[in-house]
Amino acid sequence: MAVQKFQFFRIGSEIHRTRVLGFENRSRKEKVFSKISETTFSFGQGLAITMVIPTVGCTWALSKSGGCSMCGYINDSTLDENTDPEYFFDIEWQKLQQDPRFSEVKAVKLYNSGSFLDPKEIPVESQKSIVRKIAQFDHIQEFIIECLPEIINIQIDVLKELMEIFKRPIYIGVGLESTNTYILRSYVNKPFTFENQFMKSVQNTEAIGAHVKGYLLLKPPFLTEQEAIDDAINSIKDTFQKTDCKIISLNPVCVHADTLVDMLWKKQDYSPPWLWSILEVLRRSEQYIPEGGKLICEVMAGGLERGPHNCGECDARVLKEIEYFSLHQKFSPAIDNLTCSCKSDWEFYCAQERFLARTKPFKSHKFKFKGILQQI
Amino acid sequence: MVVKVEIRNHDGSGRITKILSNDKVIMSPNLLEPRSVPVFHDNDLINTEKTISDSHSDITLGYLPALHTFAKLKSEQEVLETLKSVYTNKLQKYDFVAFPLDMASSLRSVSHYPEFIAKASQELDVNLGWIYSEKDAETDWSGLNDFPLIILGDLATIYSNQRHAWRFLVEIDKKFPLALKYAPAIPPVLFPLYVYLGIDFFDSLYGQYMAQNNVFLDTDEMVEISDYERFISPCMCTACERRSEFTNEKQWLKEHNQKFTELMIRKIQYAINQGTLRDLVKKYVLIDPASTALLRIADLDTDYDLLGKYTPSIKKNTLVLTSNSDYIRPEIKMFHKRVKERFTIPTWTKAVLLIPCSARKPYSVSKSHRIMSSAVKNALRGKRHSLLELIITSPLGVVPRYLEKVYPAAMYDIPVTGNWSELEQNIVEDLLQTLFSQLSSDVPIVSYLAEPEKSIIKNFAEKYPSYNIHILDVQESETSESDLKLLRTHLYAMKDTIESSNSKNNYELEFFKAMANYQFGKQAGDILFPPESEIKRRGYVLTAFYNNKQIATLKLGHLAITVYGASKLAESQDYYKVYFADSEISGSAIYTPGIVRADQQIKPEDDVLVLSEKTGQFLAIGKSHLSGFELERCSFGLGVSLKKKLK
Repeated sequence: MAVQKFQFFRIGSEIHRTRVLGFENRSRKEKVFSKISETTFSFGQGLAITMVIPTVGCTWALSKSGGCSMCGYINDSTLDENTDPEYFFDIEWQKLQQDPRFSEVKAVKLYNSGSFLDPKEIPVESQKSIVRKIAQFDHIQEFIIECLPEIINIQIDVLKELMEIFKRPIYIGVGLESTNTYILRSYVNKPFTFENQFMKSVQNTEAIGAHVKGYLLLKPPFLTEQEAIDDAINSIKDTFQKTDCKIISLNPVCVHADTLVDMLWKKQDYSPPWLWSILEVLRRSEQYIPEGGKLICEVMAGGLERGPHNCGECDARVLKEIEYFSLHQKFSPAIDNLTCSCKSDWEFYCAQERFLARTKPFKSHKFKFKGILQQI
Repeated sequence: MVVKVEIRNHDGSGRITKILSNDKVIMSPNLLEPRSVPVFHDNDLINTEKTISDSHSDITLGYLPALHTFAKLKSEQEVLETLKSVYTNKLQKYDFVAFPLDMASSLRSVSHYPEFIAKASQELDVNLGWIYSEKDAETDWSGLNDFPLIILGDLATIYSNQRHAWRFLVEIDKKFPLALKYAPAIPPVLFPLYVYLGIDFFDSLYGQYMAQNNVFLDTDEMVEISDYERFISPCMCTACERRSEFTNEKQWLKEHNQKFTELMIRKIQYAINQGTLRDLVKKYVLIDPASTALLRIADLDTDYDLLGKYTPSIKKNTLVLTSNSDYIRPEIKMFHKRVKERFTIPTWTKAVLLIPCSARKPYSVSKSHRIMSSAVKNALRGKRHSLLELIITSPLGVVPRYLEKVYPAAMYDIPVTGNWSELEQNIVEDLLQTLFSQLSSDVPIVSYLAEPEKSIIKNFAEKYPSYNIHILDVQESETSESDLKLLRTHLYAMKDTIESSNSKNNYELEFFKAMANYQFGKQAGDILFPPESEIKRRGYVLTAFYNNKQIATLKLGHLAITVYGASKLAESQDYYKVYFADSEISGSAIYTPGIVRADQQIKPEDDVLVLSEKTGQFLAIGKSHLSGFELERCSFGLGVSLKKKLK
């Protein structure tokens, strides 16, 4: 009997199918918005502009592999090759300049539901033009974008030019999700691995004065709760210790429509992480944060069915603790009083989930007794 | 470690197995304790080992680390090598070791996974188990060793669709007929049903989950405790007796649920040993519609007789038939099948009499039957030996007098209400139709039955007008004077139509022949008891002789044949034979490793003929402990207890 090579499982075909269905079924509405709000940057707190401009769509998501299993941002894109992102940028930029708080803004976060540096999404000339427009204002001290690591590596010369235009730090958010190759390839479906493209991208950006901000995922699909916690802590440790990346953002999964995770969630084969898991990851990763480093966590859809949640009664309090940690890099004194009856449930699930030996997790985060014989 | 599994006892698919592993003896059905094997091959990898404070069972199952922890290894070969070099010593402390579930298995073809497991089971010296899910139906699992441990995680969730659950269980039995099966997270009240359907191991997960959520488990109902102080436990287990000694109420509840779970296991083990597992199942399925449905689906499946093939053909206790599910239970179905296939109406039968059953068994011992018998003798005199008596009863349907001593006809009990359901009527009709088709159409069939049986026969007669049925109008009861007079008169009038009279010897011999056919197949009666055979009576015991050699003794529930009789049977027919490897046997039993092949229709407790595979010679008569399939395939444990060897 021949032993076959450990074929890394490519779930791309399944994701692709879900994507195509999503493209056909949803009425397409590209997302454009901007706002000015209070946030934390590398140097503290202040006002920042958050902008989302549409492009044709993330190249990876549009490829035959279908893109990442949990990301639904492709649904915010136009899918039209003739889209001119700079056009949308200009409209929003005009609007923002009318806002009285504009002069106090310290940073601009520009999200294009894909990779900023990818010429197929934003043409190089548009990239430079946008950066030029932002660079005109001295009060803006940081520019934050997102990109895939291999595109950073390919387009490193363009990035250098952008740095020369902006002359201030550019932070690039990279969706690393996990440092475990098997999880990246088989469960999240990323085209790169931690060792090859990501580490190189950190080296390349640091060399020219820009910085990489790592996004790590809590609970990709096909992992149990405990495995997800362990993987997140492991990834944080690896990223901080093996690269010069100083900022990590922990992103707990929330279930976007028309993704593979959505398909699993509807069949009850996936349940979003508990808020206790987030606290656990933060608590155990504190020791790995280096000097000058930051571990932040912004919870999307916290407390809702599709996002990370607990039993419903303690959600608000736990979310507040997570927010406090993101700001201050330590827990508030109130953390010791943070208890809820569902915490022991969460501990039970974490310990016993893999012994169920099936893909369906325990029924739900909040147990309802039906008075008759019921499954678990 | 090589696991040696011995099947000790059967009832339905449920069985007690004795597992010898590393000098430790494990009995099933039982509770397993699942554990996570820590990651040993990568010291950098963060891996939380949750220590389980309350360990419930000393039978441990270690799940190997998840697939993604081996991410740094490049091929399956490397993974196997790592497992061999790093893990082998660490795995010795677990009784079973299992590969973890491939969580993404629903989205990929798992065609390479069984090969990997097969290779691993060859190379690693552990008792290997693996998780089999519904999505694995398409993969080819042949080539894996007998008696692995199959983990059926999906069973807990597909229970709501019972046809689905049944198909799943049938599929498992087809693919892994002898495997040890473990179903996690099953409610304890469903343990009897699942053991009956073939599951050997369970765990405490359900009880602990329910305790975590303040639900108290009990046989009669589950209760959610909203106020611990006001809750008085309806249970006397050791946990509830010392409730005040626990550090907190949740600890008490966990311990109580655990005790309840263990109690169910104990009950099941006891029941299998007593041959009453089916009766235990019968009581517990009534808790829940889904389990009642699942049992019914299992009973009614004519394509795959999962239950029947392992149900012993003789049990020692009276069969108590008190619910709908009993009409289709394997023991009853076996009786129907054997009557239809193995009972032949003797050729000298000149008339048929349909009579009711009696409370006392076997029927002929009862007062009512003795009264009727006396009336028949009075009317027909010597010609009564050409009369075939058929007893109409539920749920056996129709019991020919000659078979009144077989199991279960001699040892059953039913509630008598005077109501017959449609199912019961259909059983009677079906059997009568099969039996009467053996008769020529002019044979008179007299029905001596009161209501409601009388109407059943009336309906039958209307449906099948070709039969010569006379329905006597029994008014009061079959033992009332006026009705007996009716019977006597009718039979007396019929007497002259019966040309010749059959000998008493033939008549008594027919009891032996019918029972021999019932036990060994259609020709056995004629082979064992040629017409010249004699019957001798010693007290109440009847024995048959041929050429002054004892052939068989008629016992309650069983025809015991001598080794001489068995040798005659062995020469002339091919059924119920077990072939032993050697040319001689020493000792009083043969064990499964020595059995080369066996008749697949053998059920536990059947009498079997033991022959030598080498010489073809008949060696001994014995009683089989297992089904024919298991006799061939098992490699450990008792196969056949020998009753008598040929000198």
